[in-house]
Amino acid sequence: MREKIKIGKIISQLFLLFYSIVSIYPLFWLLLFSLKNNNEIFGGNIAGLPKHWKFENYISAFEQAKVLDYLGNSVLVTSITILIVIILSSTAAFALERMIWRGQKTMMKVILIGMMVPIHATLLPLFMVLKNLHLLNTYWGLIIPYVAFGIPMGIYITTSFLSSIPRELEEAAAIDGCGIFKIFAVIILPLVKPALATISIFTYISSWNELMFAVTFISKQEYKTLTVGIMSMVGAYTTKWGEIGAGLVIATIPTIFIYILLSEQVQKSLVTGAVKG
Amino acid sequence: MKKILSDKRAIVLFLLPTLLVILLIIIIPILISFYYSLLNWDGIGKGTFIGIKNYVSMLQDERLFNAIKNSLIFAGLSLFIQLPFCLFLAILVANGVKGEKVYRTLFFIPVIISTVVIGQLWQKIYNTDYGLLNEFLQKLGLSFLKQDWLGQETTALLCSFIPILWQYVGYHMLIMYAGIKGISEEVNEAAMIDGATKGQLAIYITVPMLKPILKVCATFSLIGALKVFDLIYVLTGGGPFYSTEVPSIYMYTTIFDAFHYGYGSAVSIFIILECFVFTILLNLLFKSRREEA
Amino acid sequence: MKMRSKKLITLFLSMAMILQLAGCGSSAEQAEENDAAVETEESTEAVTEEAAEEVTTEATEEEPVTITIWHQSVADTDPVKRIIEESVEEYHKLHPNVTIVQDGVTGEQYKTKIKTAFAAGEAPDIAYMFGGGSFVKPYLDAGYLLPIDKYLTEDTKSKILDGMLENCKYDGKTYTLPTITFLANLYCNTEMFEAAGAKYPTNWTELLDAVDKLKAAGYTPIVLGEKDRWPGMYWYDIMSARQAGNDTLNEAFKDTSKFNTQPFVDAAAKMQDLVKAGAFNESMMSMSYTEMIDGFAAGQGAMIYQANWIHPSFEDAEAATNGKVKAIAFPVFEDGKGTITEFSGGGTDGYYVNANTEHPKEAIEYLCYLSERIGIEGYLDGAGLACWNLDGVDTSAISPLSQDSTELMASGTSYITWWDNILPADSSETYKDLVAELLALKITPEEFAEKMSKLAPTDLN
Repeated sequence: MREKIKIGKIISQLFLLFYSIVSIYPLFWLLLFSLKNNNEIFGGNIAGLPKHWKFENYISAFEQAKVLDYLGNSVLVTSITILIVIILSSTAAFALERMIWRGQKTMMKVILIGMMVPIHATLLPLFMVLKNLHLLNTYWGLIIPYVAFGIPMGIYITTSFLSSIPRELEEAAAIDGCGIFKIFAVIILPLVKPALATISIFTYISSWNELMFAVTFISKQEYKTLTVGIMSMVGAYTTKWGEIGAGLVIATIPTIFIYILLSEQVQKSLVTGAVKG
Repeated sequence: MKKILSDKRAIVLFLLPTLLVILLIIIIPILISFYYSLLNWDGIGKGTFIGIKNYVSMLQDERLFNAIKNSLIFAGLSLFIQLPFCLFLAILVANGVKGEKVYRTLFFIPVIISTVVIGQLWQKIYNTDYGLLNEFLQKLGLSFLKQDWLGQETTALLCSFIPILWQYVGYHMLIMYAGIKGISEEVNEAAMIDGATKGQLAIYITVPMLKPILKVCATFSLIGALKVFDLIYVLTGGGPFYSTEVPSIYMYTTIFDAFHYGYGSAVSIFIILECFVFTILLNLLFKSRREEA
Repeated sequence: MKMRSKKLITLFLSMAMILQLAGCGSSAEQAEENDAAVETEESTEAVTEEAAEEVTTEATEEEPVTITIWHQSVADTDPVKRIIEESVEEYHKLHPNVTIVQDGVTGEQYKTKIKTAFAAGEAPDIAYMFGGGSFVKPYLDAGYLLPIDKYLTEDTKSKILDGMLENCKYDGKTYTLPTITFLANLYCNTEMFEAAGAKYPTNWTELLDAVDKLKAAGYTPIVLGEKDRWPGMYWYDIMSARQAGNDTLNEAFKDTSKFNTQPFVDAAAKMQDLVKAGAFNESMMSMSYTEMIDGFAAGQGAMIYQANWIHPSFEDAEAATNGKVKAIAFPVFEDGKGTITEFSGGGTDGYYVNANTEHPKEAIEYLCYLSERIGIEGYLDGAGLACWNLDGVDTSAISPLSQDSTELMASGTSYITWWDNILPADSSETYKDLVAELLALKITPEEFAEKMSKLAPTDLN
């Protein structure tokens, strides 16, 4: 019996190890890709080490594509987006899942429609809305749409999370005379932290990598984001793919960093949450 | 208690900003799209109002049917192959394997890499002349299996789905993992004391308790499948001969390449309705199952 | 009850907003019509004003004017990027009251952006537009673009090479100026041709012969990336021109039933002959345009038929093909009417002025300035072929490939641009699909010709 378990453990370890390699391979591949020239990328050396290590690709990405300038904009837009999505998702989810009023279900459905909209179809109508609000060529012209397309998912995750948490804590707090805002801030917010961390990761990924809105709604150099900067290296004549790879590596590093940071948060709050529950 | 929880002012305060944003950025554009879908309009100049004619012609549009069929195949694959696989991984990782944290982090990496990179990578994998897949087959002595994976109608569809299924494994796994970790240890311990094996634990305790989370994942992956766009667009552009076309790609090319703004908008409204209907069906499915249990 | 009335109110409110927003397209158009009306009134004044200005040598202080321009030259590898950026600064020095604000976006995204901006009435003063029936034509028809004749000087006109301005006219009015132009050539990898002992083909038999020899030597004879569909279209464009002759093509564009005639069937059959002879790479259907170009530059095949915008890729210092590529005219067909001096190319992409611009005079003047600079400097930088008079310009430094294609162009007697620039959008899409099906041997040459005859004809004149 014990041996059986041992063999099972070894097999599952081997499997997990194998799948880890499959998962991390693209990162490794990207790194090599960013150090090659077109001749190697399109000449058959797609997986091997570069024959000539082209570290210049990174210099080009920094100097010519001005990756650092764009990086700042991306950081600003993405972090404000995440902040707003977290706040709105938690408040709205609380009102929708825990508070008592008529029309909750309908409201939930309306909000969920936000997940179903094919983003490309909204381009022109959204452009018109933003134009009328004078938000084109501003940071808000990106933040608000990113928030809108992020909250439905956020609310959905948070409400499902809340629904699995018993109501006793709130009830006890209410009996103790806590007001609604205090219940939200003191009881609910700490409880949904893991959900919020998950939402932050997803919101981060979608707004950090978003291209179509960023290209269409922004025509001023000073507000352009990193994806736009990287895509501007795709030329009408020649495209140096290695340099694009370098830009993408630079764009991916903060992502990995933030992911590790936030997933630590998921982990922590999960553990503490479980103890309390 | 009830009084506190039905405080109208608080509800308005909590919901109003969200509703405002959703109204402005999602509801109004949908309604504008709906208005466009009633026009014969090329996106330039004035459109002519033609009522529901665009919707009527959708009923005879074989290209659209094919696109819908493809997206449904994809939805099927992600619900019945990808999600169970994610669940399996999540259970495996969450149940105290050595290096739990490392695995959890690594599995998520494909999700955070941008579509451009994933697209480039898989193009290189599938490349006919020097792609990894064909070279691998050759090394195994199976060179008769070498083929133009993305260039043939027979293989292109599946080959363009695999990268997306693979990329989002980490996404669903993370949600499920969080859910499993949320199940309190006491439940598991109680079951273990009763003599349950790990497999039994997974089937009889973890999965049922995970139902709300599974519903979230199923909904996400269903909606994601019905409006899938990016990677397929990069890998095949919907070709060869529209064999890998999905509704979103069809809508995009109709609007932006063929200048049929009205018709493209009608397709977009269809996509929304399709997602809505399927989400409701999924909800019913989960509900009836719950009642059975 | 209260709830219901609230719902109704929000519904009405949102409906009102939507109508207002959706109405933007039409209201923009009305504004435009008004503008046009004002313009005609002003035009007489403007002429006299202009004359007066010339006399008083612009001594009066002018209102500051800002002109926005959108283009698709964003990569550092694109020579036009530098030209636009420099022109913006230098133009401001020449005309201190005029500030040019430029914004560039890459290819596919540019199309989406410019279409959206025009539809929403937010297009810039000057925009780069892709030529022909499937892109710029609907905008010309709908009056979104401004004719530039009013401010176009004889001096500028005299600097443009003969015939080039004709491509910029529509309904007798000039809408843009040529910049650089493009010509499709057959590019041969000299190293591979020598190694295979193949001769540079001048006719169909020699082409088939070269294909055989290259194949025997282990090379892919022709690289074609048909995933994006238009590279294959270029092949049929030129092969049917060789078979039927440019005059017949021009007739067929106007009366598509002529596509269902022998020359077009023969050209289609020849294309399938090439496929059957194994001339194209097996990965043809999945290869993108980029993979095709970069693949050729990395030495993946011996021939490629493309326009001269690929020169920078092939002559890149790191490219395997650097110094090893020769441009030749597409081989003639012994049984065809087409001659070696007939070419595919001479596109009409260019910069167009928005009909809604507040400063038509300044915008057009800058357009003239920019077009000339791109025309001359772009040619020198190998971005394309010359449309402007190069007298007094030192052209000795241009690249060998550009020299080849300049000579080829000089030999030309007749040009037909890419068919998707001639046919309307729907016909172009169908045409490209049909060529792809032809290449995949999914349809016979006869079926191809039959289906081509069902296309909507061009409405360009």
